[in-house]
Amino acid sequence: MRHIILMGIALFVAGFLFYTGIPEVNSQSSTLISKLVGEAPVDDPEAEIWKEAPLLEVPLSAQLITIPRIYEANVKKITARSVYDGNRISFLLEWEAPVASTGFLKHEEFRDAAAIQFSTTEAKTRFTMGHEDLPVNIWHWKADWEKDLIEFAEIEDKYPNMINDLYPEDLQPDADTFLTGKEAGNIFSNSKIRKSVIENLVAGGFGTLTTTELQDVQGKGVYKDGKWKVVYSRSMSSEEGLAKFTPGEFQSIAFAVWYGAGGERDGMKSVSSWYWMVPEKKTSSLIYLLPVLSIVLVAAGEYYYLNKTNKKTSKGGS
Amino acid sequence: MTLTRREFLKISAATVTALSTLGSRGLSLSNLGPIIVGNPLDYYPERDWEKVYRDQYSYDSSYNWVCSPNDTHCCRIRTFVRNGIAIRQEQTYNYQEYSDLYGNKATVNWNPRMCPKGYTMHRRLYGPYRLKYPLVRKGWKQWADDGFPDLDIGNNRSKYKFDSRGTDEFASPTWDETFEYMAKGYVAIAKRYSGPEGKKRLLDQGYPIEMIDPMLDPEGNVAGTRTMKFRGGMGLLGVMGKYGMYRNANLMALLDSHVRGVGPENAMGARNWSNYTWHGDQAPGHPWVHGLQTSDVDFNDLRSTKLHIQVGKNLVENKMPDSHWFIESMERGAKIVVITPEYSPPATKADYWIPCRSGLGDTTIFLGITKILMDENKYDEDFVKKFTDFPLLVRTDNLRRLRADEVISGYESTLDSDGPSFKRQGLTSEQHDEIGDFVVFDKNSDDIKAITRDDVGERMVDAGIDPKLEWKGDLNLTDGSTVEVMTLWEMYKIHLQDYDLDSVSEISQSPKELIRQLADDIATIKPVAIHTGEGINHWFHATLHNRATYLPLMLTGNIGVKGSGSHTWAGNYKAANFQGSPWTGPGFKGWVGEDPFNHNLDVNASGKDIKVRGYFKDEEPAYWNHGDRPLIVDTPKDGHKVFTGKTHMPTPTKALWFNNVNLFNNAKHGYDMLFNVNPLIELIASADIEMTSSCEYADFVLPANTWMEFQQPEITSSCSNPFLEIWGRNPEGIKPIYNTKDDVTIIASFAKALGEELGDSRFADHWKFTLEGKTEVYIQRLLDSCTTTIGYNYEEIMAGKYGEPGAALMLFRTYPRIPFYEQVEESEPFFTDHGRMQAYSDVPEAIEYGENFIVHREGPEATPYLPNVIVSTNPYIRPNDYGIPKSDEGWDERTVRNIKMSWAETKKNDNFLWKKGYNFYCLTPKTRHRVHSQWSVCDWNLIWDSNFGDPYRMDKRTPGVGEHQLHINPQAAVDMGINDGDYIYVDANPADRPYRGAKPSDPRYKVARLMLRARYNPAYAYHITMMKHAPFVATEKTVKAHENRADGRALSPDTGYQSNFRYGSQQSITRNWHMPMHQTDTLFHKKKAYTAFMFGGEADNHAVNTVPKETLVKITKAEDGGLGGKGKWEPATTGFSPAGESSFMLRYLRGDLVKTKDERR
Repeated sequence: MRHIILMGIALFVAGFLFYTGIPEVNSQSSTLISKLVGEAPVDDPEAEIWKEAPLLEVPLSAQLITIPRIYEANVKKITARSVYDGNRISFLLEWEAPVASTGFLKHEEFRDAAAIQFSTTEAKTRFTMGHEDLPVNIWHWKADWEKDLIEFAEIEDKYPNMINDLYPEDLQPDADTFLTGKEAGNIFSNSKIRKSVIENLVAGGFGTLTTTELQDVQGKGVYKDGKWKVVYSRSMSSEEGLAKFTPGEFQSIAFAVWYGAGGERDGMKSVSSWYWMVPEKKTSSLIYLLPVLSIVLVAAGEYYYLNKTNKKTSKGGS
Repeated sequence: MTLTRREFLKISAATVTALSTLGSRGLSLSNLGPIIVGNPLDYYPERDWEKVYRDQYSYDSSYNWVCSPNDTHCCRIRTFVRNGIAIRQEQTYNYQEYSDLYGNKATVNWNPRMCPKGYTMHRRLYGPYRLKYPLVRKGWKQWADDGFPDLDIGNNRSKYKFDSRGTDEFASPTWDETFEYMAKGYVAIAKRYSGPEGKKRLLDQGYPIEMIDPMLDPEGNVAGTRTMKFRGGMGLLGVMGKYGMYRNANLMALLDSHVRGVGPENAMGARNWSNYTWHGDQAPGHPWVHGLQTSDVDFNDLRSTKLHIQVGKNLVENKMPDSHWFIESMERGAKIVVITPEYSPPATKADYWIPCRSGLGDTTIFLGITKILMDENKYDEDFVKKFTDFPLLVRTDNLRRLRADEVISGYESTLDSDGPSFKRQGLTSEQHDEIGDFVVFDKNSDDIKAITRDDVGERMVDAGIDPKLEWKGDLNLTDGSTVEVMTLWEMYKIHLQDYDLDSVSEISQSPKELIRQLADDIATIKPVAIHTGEGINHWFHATLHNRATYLPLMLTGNIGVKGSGSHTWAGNYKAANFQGSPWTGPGFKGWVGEDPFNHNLDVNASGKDIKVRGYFKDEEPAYWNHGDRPLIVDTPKDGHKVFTGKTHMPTPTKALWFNNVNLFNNAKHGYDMLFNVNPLIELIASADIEMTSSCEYADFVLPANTWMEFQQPEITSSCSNPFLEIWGRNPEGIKPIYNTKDDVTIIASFAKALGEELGDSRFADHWKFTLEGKTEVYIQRLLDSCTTTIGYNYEEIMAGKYGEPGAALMLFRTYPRIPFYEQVEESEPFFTDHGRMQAYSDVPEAIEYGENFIVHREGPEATPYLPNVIVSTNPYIRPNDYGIPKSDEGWDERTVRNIKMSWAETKKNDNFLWKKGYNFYCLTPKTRHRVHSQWSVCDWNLIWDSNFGDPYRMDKRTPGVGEHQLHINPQAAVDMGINDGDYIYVDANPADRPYRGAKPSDPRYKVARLMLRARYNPAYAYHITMMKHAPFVATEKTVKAHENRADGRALSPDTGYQSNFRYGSQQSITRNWHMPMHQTDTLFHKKKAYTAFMFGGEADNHAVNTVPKETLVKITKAEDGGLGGKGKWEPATTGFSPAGESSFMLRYLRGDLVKTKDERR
């Protein structure tokens, strides 16, 4: 009997967690609480204020669902913190990377990168980059973009001994026409159209990742002592369809990290499933007691049911 | 491209999906299901970006020109121009519109025509290696400014850096100054080497008297102009601008008249250097078989062949725009056979591949097949009797053919003066008197019978002659003696006893069953065609191999009909396309040989009225390439022996001007030329479009326009297609982008300057119409006077009357052009002395050298056996060895030593080089992505060209964007401790290579010693290596550059010359070989470009062919192949490369990766 009760409780809890999207692993650390502060850092991973923010430790696993995939995560966890000041909300991700990879120009090299994914709708969507009806908003930091800000990297910087007979710009007045990506407005090909080191994207499932016209996420990454610290910062509100943050309202959040030295790019990454984040609000703690109340209520209901059943059994004899 | 969210949602909504989901409230695992994206062709988001590509392809105008490298195709290319810049190239796709005077049209199947070389031509046009303005070497200029002091006095040659050109610098004069300096130089050299003083100088410089004799005018006085050599690089590629060099050579007679004060009767012009023969492109045996320079067809004839045999030929890689005809023959059911030492690209297409020993062991395959056909009566007796020399009687005493007047008293020839020999082929009475008539044993009369060269085919039947193939006996001659004679057929039965199947298999190292199969196929399939190329012609004994390929075809009647024949492919050589005749006019010679004392300045003059007088004389560069010497050997038995015939004899070289050719780069024994030979040359001029090593070692560098920039019309045609092509001065075309000139304008401007120097306007008159910008006048004259173009009008061709403006079909007899159609279909004589195809030569040289029969010989160097040995026991081969011992290691001695041995004996005699460890053959075929040395400047082509192409130059030892490589058998490399990708040294006989006198202590030694990458390739047998030929060689400046530059590039600092090697080149291991059979005065054959006959030497026709494959090399490791010289070359460690295969790769190679259903069960 006791086993049945415990199983019932477990099933209920699992169902509840699934319904709310809270990961099962550790209910105590499944929510990233964004702390209300005086001023949220925009580009300072070392700001003192971060120490005030609660830390969420997020285990990562290898992305195995679709190709290209990896079979073992190079980065097995990250820590996340968040603060907001009423106008802006900022996140700080930290993870250990034995080697920092900031280049992306050689064929054989890949950059370090990290992304935060938010649901853009109240309805639940897939942590695997959403789906077409329920897209997600992704903030993607790239180590090479960070480096480009200091000095834009050309192929010749990577290959100082290279030879090329001529480029179109050596001859043509409209040479940019022949730089297809640049002319088409590809943010990768044209650093001048980048607003920050973080790309703002939307996606509705694998293969639909799309750069948004509005590039309003700012931030900065710093590598020190074998660890990356990256700040992401944006105003609390943005265009419709992008992630929005309201104090007290829960928002789905997920994370991904690419370890460049491990050859990770595209789907080859370490990922988390959905977590919650919420900008804290001075409000009743009732919401946090609800699960406990639920359990109590269920337990009470089950106790009542079992009690009643036992009585029937006693009457009938065996 | 960026999207708004709204647009994103719109796109997503339109995407067709089939979600495998249980809904938002389902199990978490359902979220892992893939999202299926619909067909992007049904709907695609925001297509604005496509405009970028449309913009890239947009253009302001286009124009057509002809890509005319030495590859035989001369494809017409359409260039698109944008903002005045040529941005890309395309095929024209309009060959079906090409027509002739009679309305015949070419097939649409010729399209498309252009390869990846034409595709990148604009990249060369604008590339960094273009010559932009004229250059003169500072040392030479100083010599001129000092008044041309005698270079033989004191150390003047060193003072003015004639012996160290490669270290000198260049000045950049104006064009006018350049021509003025050149004119003064030519006058100075003509004076210096004329008369008794000139002769004395030359003798003092060590030249043999035999070389001075051809400088004598009819009165016996030496003309200095004879020391001037001109070479229009593969002249057919531009008949005006390239062959125009020879018109200039003829003009030097006018210079001679000034310098020596002689009139036209004694004036001597300069010398014209050959192209085709010196490249080793010609199949030198062809004139020995049928009297024609070369046999080749329009490529669309390949579709008619049913048994297609490629021997030492790669029609897959080296006939890019037209190789589809070969593929088409497969589609039409032809059987494909390939004979090569390596498993080659065409071998992969073959029904069967016959591997063979390198070094022309496969000559014996054809001899063995001939024996089978004869022994088993699998021959076409009618054809053999009508068209071959097998029925002709040969004397066994002197090995000469029996002449009619030797055996028939009071013999009077019946050769009809109105017959084809005299009327159509241009035979003269004097020539007929010299060659005589011949004798057969007639079956009808059961007696000997005279037979003339007209008595071939049906004419022989009409004459009532039915010659016996099998007959021998004694005959009483008119001089009273008795001599044994026999038919050549009888002699061949004896001769071929050495070539039974077992022996052939052993000599050729080819499988017996495949040789047998080929014999059966030749006997039973028709038509049969054999295609050969440089894989044969670049060997010393190519002459014998070429002749051997004809034997089975002669026996089976596979000559003169569609889809048949033995053809050779290498180089666009065919000046004969512009064929002169008594009835049309001088043709080609009317252009190059117009009498400079008797110009025709009438703009409307017909080409037929041009007065022709050849003051020039053709000459093989092979002699310059041989220490500037002919083949003269002091022999133990015959003493001072001159093997170079008088019709071939060179003169000393004192002025050398060439265009459109990277002469020194492509010279075998190249460093010997740079360091030992050229110092004695006093003026070297190179006209080119890019900086080459030939320019770097020249005194004058003359920058030319590319084909795309021509400002005057140019004309060309081809040996492999029927297209007449004229282009240039296109109003839509781009203008020259630098201070460059058309080839023809450069030559004409020099002539004008020379005339001004001498105060004689005739020099300018010689080039009047070019100087007036009307070169088309000369083109019209050419069209007027050739059998192949008569009736065409330049203006009409350019107006597009015959299809593409500038194009038309050549007026060949057949379409496709088929050699010997007239001979077989209309019973005209072949171009030999007896009018038949010949399996036997009775010229004195052939008999003396032991090559009267078609026989197998080992090479003078590339053999494990005694060099140059004749493998035969035939008593009718009686060569002269001149007493030269078998132990003699001299290169000339090996060349002329004629020792006959059985195969059993041959095997017991080793090659001294083989024993010393020089036991690798080195094949040097043409590259796929370059045309000889052309395109060696273009980054894209070089990246494609080898396994080491790398524009990033991650290993900065790489000389440029590419790296040259030697293909080597993996096991052979492993045995020598060489890893895949390592740098290796490749050395040939140290007695003379890389240059005579080379010593490791000489700073130039390392410049000249070949170093390149090793690449494992199991397609090559153990002792066979392969290195593509003619990349840009290392020079003193490039070596200094890569040893000192931070980036390691082999880029000359001042000239901008970019080498493809770190050290050395292909030419480090090659040398020139003076093949005696190429230097006769007696071979009777057709002239190249006129319907007439001749005896002896003619450039590109019967002359020394260079043979770069005739070398043995030793290979040693130089450096590790890994990045920066550490460890293994990375691609060799992937598991996907030869001899380093992973288990997965081995499974793939075994075909184990895919299982059929049955196998899975």
